[in-house]
Amino acid sequence: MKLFLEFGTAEDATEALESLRAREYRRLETYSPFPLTDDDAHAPRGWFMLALPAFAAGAVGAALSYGIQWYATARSYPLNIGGRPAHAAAAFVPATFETMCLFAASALFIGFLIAERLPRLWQPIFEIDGFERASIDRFWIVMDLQSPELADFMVEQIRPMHPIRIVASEDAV
Amino acid sequence: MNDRAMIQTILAPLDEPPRLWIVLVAVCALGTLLWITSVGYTLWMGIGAWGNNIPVAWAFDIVNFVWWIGIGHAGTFISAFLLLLNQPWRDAVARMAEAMTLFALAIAASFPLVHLGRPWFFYWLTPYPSTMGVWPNFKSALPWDVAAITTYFLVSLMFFYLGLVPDLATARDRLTGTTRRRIYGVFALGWNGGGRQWRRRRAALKMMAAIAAALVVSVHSIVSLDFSIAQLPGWHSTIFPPYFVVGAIYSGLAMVLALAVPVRAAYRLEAVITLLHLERLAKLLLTIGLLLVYCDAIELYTAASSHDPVERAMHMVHWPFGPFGWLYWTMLALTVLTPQLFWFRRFRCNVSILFGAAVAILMGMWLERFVIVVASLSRGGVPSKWHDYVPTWVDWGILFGSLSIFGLFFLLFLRFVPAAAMGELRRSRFEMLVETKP
Amino acid sequence: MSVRQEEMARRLGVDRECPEGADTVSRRGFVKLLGASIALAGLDGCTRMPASNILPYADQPELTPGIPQYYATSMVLDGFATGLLVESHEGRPTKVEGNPDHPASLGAAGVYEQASVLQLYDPHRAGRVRHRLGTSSWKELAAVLAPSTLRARVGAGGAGLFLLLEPTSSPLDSELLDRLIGMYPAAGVHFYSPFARLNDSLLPQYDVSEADVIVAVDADFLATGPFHLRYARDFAARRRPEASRGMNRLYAIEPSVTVTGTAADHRIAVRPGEIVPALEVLLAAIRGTPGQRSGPGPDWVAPIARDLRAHGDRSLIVAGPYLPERARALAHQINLALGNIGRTIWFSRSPLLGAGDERHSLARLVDALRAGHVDTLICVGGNPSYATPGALGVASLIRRVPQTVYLGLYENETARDCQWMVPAAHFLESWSDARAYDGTLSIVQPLIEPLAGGKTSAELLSLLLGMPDAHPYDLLRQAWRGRGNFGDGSDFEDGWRKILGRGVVEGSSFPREQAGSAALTPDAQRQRSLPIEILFRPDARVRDGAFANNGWLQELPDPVTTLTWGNAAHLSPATAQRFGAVTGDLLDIQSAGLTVRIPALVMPGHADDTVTVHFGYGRDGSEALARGVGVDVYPLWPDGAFTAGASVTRMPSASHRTLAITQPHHTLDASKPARAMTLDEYSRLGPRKPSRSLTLYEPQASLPDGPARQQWAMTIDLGACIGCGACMVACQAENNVPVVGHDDVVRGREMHWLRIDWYAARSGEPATIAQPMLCQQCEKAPCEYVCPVEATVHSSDGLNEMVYNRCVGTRFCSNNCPYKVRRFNWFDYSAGLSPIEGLVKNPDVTVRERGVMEKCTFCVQRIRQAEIAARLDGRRPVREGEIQTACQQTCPTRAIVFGSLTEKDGQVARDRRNPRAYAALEDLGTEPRVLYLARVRNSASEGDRRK
Repeated sequence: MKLFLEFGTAEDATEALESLRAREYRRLETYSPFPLTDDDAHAPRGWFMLALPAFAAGAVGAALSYGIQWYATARSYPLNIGGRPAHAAAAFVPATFETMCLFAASALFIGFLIAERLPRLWQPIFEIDGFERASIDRFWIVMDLQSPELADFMVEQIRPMHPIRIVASEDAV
Repeated sequence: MNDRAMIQTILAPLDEPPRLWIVLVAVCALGTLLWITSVGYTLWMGIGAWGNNIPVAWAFDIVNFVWWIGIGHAGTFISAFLLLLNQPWRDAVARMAEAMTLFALAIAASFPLVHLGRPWFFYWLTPYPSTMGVWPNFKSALPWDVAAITTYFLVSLMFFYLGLVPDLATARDRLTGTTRRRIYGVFALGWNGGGRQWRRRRAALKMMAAIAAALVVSVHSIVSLDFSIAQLPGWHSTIFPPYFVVGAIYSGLAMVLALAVPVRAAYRLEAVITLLHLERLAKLLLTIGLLLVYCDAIELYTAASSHDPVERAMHMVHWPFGPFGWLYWTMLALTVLTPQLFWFRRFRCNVSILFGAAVAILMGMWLERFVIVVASLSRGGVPSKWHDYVPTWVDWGILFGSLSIFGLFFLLFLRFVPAAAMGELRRSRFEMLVETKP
Repeated sequence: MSVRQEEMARRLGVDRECPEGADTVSRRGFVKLLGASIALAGLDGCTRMPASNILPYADQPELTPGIPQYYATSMVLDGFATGLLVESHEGRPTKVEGNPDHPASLGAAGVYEQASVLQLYDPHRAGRVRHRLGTSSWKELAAVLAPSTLRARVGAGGAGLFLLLEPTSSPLDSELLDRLIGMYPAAGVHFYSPFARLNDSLLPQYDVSEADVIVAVDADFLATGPFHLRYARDFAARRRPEASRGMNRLYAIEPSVTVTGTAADHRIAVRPGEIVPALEVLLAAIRGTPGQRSGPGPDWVAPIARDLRAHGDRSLIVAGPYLPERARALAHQINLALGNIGRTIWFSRSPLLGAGDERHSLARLVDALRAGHVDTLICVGGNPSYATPGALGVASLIRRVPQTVYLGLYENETARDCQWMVPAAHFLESWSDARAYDGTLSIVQPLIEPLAGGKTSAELLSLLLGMPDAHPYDLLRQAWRGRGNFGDGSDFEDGWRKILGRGVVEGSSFPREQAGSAALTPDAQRQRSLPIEILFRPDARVRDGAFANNGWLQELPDPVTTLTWGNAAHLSPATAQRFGAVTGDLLDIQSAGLTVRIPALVMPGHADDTVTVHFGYGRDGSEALARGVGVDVYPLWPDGAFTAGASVTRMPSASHRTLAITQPHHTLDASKPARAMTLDEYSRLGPRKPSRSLTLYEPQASLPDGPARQQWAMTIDLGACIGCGACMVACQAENNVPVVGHDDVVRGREMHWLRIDWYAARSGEPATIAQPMLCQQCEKAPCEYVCPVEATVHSSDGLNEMVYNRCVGTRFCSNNCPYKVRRFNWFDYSAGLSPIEGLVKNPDVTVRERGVMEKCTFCVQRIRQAEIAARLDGRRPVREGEIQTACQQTCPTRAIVFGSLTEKDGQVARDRRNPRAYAALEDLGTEPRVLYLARVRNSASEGDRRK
């Protein structure tokens, strides 16, 4: 059982959010054209789960790149090129560094998609009519209630926060 | 202006562009045709179609390459560096700058490809197991280039796209017409504006920005190595990596200005891209300009205090008084004097002066690359093989053609992609409102 | 394309259907191509290496496909032979070398000899017998010129029959002519070519090696003239300060800058008019009766006189062939006074037919033509309609002759004026004989049947004798059998085989003659008063125009000026300034009542108020390459003299022509790639410390193969090199170097792997150091590490290798080459070649495709051949001197030495220890395998001090 609260302005939505939080409601999520909370806007925390794979990927990329360069010039087909050493570590640095960056950045991008299970063109929440305005000028707060009987009580609680609409739905996520 | 108005102004061009648009597209299309002709002719005839010779084996091809790469650096500089430095004002121009970066990179990458004697073997520069059993030579700077530019392009692309997704969602939900909405919907990947999405996107963007920042510095450093690993006087100089990076950002910022000014006029974006933004850009331009002067001075000083008479002659005689001396002085005038205007607020806030200065700096930076590449080569090696350089119509065709392609890409971008990150813009306005509340 | 075809054909043709045996191998591939060639209309299907009656040089193994053979033959210029060895690939001559046994060559070959092989395959050569506008045939001509018919025309005595031949020393021709005169006693026989020395019945012979002091009076004896290869060798032998007999000293007194002038220790630029008076003063000074007749003279005379007297009979005055009679007489007197006659200079009979006989001169023929006595004129070779003094108006005179026949290589100006055109056989297609400058007899044997069905002069003469079908081979054998002169009285066949093998008859040179002290003829024209004097000279590349259609020569940079594809009027800077002209500005030069418009070329070191122009350009025959290149200056040329008065006017500043000059800058600049020193400085030099131990570059442990047994290197002695340019053409021929044409030379895209750089000590001075510049084969090669695809790498025997197949053409290597010796294929230069042109390509060397780099390989194909030979020969190492690079082999002065560093006491190793040795741009640390030996100047002042 979920409640979908639609607000007309960001101010109302944030106030509502704060008062709900003050009432110890935790199972809340917002849907809005721009991040509502400071957390969402600046993400001071919680990036670690993305950083870890990125770091790993970077390390792999660097190793791979250097490995290929070493194998190609020093192992597989060594040649006397201008009397320079076959295994010229310094010369291998630039490509190594670039590959590292590529792998790390890709890990971030792909990591984000995986974490958000994107691309996902249809989501149940899109079925709620008017929700498309969540990307334009409406601000939604979604409460997850454990038990349906709480619904009426909650609606009473929420009304003074003057939402435009309150939609209750069983099935929609 | 309120949010609705902002959405309106930013999404309006996607519905119907200003009248001027189609005219500009036509012009750029013609220019693109010129590019196709010139490049086609080159591929058919051989590099002899250009003015290049021995000793000047590199000329317009590499000059254009370095110039475009340089322009490609401002985008990332603005979006990445300023993002890390929490400069919200960047949001207004970041999107355009990033798009510019992508296009500039794509065009830049075309030059080393076309300039090969046998372009159809370009892939020999990449390490792949071949029946010949031969590999690229990683002691050469050119494979480094390949790595650097590919990386830079892909990272910029992901960065650009991740930043774009929410606006695509807005377009998906805001625009009319099923097909269009479907297309935008596909590219929006099913963005739903959830708080967690916003948060994770932000985190990903910030870390990518950190990487991109490292790239901005490394990529053009590597490009500069194409010259500084050589022994040619005028190329063989340790100042080159920082020198090139500074020059790149310099020309890039100039290009951002040169684009932002007309675009905001044509698309009525004055409210989005405000004078404040432009003024900040101008200040930045001045700062970087001074940095460049410093690099110039260091380069000259190093040469002057060198014990190699040939090195000295290159900087003291051949560059300033050689066959391309007049270009050398023009270059100095354009790159060194122009930004000094921006000491004065009056000029920083005058859009037409901003535009003129930006164009002047762009030309100056092109000449700078020309002097480094051509003037050095034409007087390199033994005196018996000194030879001057005269470009052919093909050289000019490719140069102006590449400008047209850039213009075409950019016009299409304005036509189909939201030109500014609405999410970020609205968030920062929202924060301002909250702060101003008693 | 054509070459790939040719290769295929070669591999295909292994079946034997023709009886000739070995040579059929080449034959099929050959006919395939020739069939395809337009240039060969009227060619019989069975063109091939001449059947078994020619013999390879010395005794070589039977012909095996892929292994070239060498045949001895001779090339004739102005009647004088130079002995050659020609490399033949399955019956296809591809490369010319000098014949070591021949006195005029001593193993060296000049630019004309080197380039002659390209002329052989010139698709523009005449390919059909023509009468007026229609195709005709040898038979029809024979009918017209048959004795019976001809007598009817020209009268029994042949009074109306006139022959104009190129100067010839051929005994065969001489005998045929005698028989002809026997048949037509009244017929006129005349010899002409612009520079032939037909007036002298006695020729001066020099022994340059004997002379301590040489004074060259307007004489470019090191680079032009019949014996220049030999003189250059002898001269250079004593340019090395290490030379046992000490250095010689060369004074050059000349108006225009020549190769000899730049090689001189002292060069004095004089106006032509000043030469005679100066020589008078010099003679007086030598005789010790100074100033009696013409005052003290210019201040440079006294020191020279002192120096000459100091060296007594070990000196030599060389008087140029273009000097007025009196000047040469004076020079002779000076030699007499010094006692040089018989020591450093003597005289011998001129081998040229009709030499010194006024009756055989062109002038006499012109008289006859003017008088209308000529009914039938037969021009054998040459190009009288073009290459004759404009004043004579020969062309129009020839056109007026009722019946004219021309035997020549090209449908040129003369062919156009004649009714009958007979394609001439190239000397590589001809059987004949000829004498060298000193009379030495040598054979001319063909390497290939006439490609265009050409005929030799002997064939034409025998046609006149009524034997149209006589084969030149039989004619020659008859003549020789009749003479039977093989030195010894041995059996003819043995002697014959020996001659074909060696190409030269030993000891057949003419004996020394007593030279009467030529009386001082009164100076014909006193030229001192002339405002501007104009000098006429043969061009260093196309000569009198005969080689104008030869791409290699057209693109060969002129010595000192490095001008290609055209000629120009050379002026001193001061004179140019007087006309307000810079290089390229058009001047109107007026002389002999005619005006010619020609671009100026400002030439430091040129005499003031003097203009030098060169013959051979402005052709308008059917030679497609030569057409419209440069300016024809024959119209200005007065009869009989190589100097004249002229007036020069500068055209309006608008009119300017870009000259295709390959080296616009001659200043040494800061980098000092070329070095010169005085004898004093040399004597103060310490021993050269080797830059590193002889292990050469340390091979990386990871490298599969360490350093090879041989480590190739080269040294070039700038003291010996005179910059004649023979090496450039040799390289071009050996390595299939393409010709790019005027426009690309202007753009700076000439492809020469080996070029000659000319440097002046200071700007504004004449360039005086010639430096052959080729790939320096650096051990720490800058080009290698910047190549992204490993297309240029180092071999285990120290070669900087260029892998054409791998090159993608980034051109980074060229940018990073301090010597700028890499060349890029800007276009597909070998695309337009007709199959016949393809035949000149050396099958051992790849023809490079568009978009790849190329450069000097140290003639790697020759190295590998020698190595394979050595391996087959019992795994022995290649011996010193077994491998000669193309440039080294042809170098007249032996300035270039090639060998392995591992030969501790080999010439190369010793040269590298020489205190004069240095590496160009040494401080870059590229460690080149090519070292130069600095040039030493033996200037008089020091020479005296050292005594």
